[in-house]
Amino acid sequence: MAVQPIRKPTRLEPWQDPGQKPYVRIEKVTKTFGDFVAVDEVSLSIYRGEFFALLGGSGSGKTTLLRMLAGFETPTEGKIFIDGVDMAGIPPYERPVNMMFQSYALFPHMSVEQNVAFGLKQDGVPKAEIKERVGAILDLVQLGQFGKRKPHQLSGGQRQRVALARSLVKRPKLLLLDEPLGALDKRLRERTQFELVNIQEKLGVTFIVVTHDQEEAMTMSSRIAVMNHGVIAQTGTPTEIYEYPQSRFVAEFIGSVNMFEGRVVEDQADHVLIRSEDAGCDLYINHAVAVPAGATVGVAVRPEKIALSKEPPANADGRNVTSGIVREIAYLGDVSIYLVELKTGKTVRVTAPNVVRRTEMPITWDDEVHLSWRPFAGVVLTQ
Amino acid sequence: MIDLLRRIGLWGRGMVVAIPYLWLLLFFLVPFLIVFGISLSEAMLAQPPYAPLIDWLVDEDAGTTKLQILLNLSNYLRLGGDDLYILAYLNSVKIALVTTVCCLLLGYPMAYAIARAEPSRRGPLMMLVILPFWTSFLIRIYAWIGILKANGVVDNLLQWTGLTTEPFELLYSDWAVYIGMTYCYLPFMVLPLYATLEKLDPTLLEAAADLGCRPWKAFLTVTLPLSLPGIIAGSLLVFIPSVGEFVTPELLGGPDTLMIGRVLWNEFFANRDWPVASAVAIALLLFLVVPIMVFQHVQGRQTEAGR
Repeated sequence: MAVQPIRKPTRLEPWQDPGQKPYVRIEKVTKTFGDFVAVDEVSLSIYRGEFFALLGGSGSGKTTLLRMLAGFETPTEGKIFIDGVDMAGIPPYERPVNMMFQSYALFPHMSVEQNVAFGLKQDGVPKAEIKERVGAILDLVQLGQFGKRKPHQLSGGQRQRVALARSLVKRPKLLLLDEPLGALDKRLRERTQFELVNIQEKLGVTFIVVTHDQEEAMTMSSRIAVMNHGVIAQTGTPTEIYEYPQSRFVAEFIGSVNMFEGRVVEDQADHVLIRSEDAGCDLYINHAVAVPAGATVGVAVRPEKIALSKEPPANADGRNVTSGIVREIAYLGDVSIYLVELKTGKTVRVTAPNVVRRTEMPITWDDEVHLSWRPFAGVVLTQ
Repeated sequence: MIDLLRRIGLWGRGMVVAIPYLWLLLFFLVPFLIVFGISLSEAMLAQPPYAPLIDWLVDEDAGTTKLQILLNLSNYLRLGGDDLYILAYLNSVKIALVTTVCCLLLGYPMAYAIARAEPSRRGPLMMLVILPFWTSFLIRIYAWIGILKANGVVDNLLQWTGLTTEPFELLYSDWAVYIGMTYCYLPFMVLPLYATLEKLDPTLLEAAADLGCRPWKAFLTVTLPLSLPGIIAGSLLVFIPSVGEFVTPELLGGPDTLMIGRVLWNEFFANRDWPVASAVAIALLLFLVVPIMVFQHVQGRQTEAGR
């Protein structure tokens, strides 16, 4: 895995502070195209200085939501407020918003400098100031010497940075980014993720980024809204989304997950016990759920939170411990993925770091192994 | 045989290119050279009505045979000396320019609207633009006579609405020529314009709006410059045939509508002065096509650089 820029824990969390007013408020916004409901009663609050990600597959409505913020689409119902102003009837060219397009949408007949200066010219900024600001922003995205080139003379990564510079040069309060890194290769993408986060922190702009790439969303954003079929499935910090998914969809969309079906047999304030035919054992989880005893629920356990061993774990009490046979091993270098077939017939995915070299690994195909995990590993999903 | 052709590169791909080249060589370059030759000869009452350029003079008395090549430049000098030709030339350029501008002003919104229409509607709309071509060009021009003449459709309409009381005739005037030629050449403007406008990425206009550009200004700074290749192609397609146009001014124009095509016709058929007519044709080519070719060459380089 590549090194990811993790946000400093000292960062403010304005959504936790009831005194904060949201910078962008989306209120029960619905957008339909004919019979198709692209966005379905979405409500969101995004705060100043946030790096907010709208994450979802294609057709989840994330891009439509972004286009409504920019003013290219009008909500069928609901309201959008930016900085407290109702955006209804305000055309794109009068909104305090700039957008970085997925296709970059650079003007092919203009040089890099002219592209970047375009927005400032529309505002009637004096020539000397335009020159200065364009120069400064091009230096920021490290394209200082490319000002005279035309877009077609640049590489994909350079074009992407021109598009970013063009959308930032007007110093918008809110920047919308539509799949900003979609067209870049993996290496360039990782570098640009760092750059974006740095630029955002340097300029203090509120970013809303649309992406289908969960890794991208996890890496860059302060909060993520996972969208599915026009509805927001869950909003939260990357950690919350990953560690405490509220629904099966979110658990499965972000990373990989093992889902066990089970019946609640014991529901206490500090723990819950679930009997699972699927897992072949009782599942003990150290958080409470608000469901009646006897209800059927799903339990999600992340592959990296399961430990594999050839010997049964020492403190086994029959909870969170099961066994099976290794069917597949995928060696990825830093980690290996094991597919273990349980006695119940269910296949469980386990990832384990390769602490020793491949040839010395104790577990191999068709070995019988024991799987165990700690009480905090599982998450109960009622939806 | 095939082996030989293959050896000189005239087989397969070469053949595909060679056939149209041969066609152009035979039916365009050779006739052009013949016309050029005629333009340098002297008119005479004969069949054909000009003196041969190249002659074998066999003098039996002296026992000599001479190859005589006579180049008569007076035809070209006559073009420069007579106002008629210069006026006709200038007038043709003027009429062609007005036609081109009218076609552009009418054709651009049409092409723009079609390019912005729903994809399923674009085909039928383009079909409507091309539809007049299914009718003979002459019939369509004759139809315009019926519309523009005194007591014609326009006249009757104007009198019926009470806008005029006098009979109003547009026919046999420069106006009629402009109307007829704009009508004829409009599709040649719409087609290339549509092709460029349809390819225009609509997100570019969204980007312009996003950067604070009002729609009208976005049209001037983004759409118009990016559709320039279409404007140039359409304008050339209208302008070039317009300059040499003969039928429309002949049928719709007045007696004083002076165009180079008419002068040419007169020289060829009324005066039977083939050398002067050829000289007019060659001069037209030099003064018109050569600048346009140079212009296109420069333009081509620019678009290549801008791509």
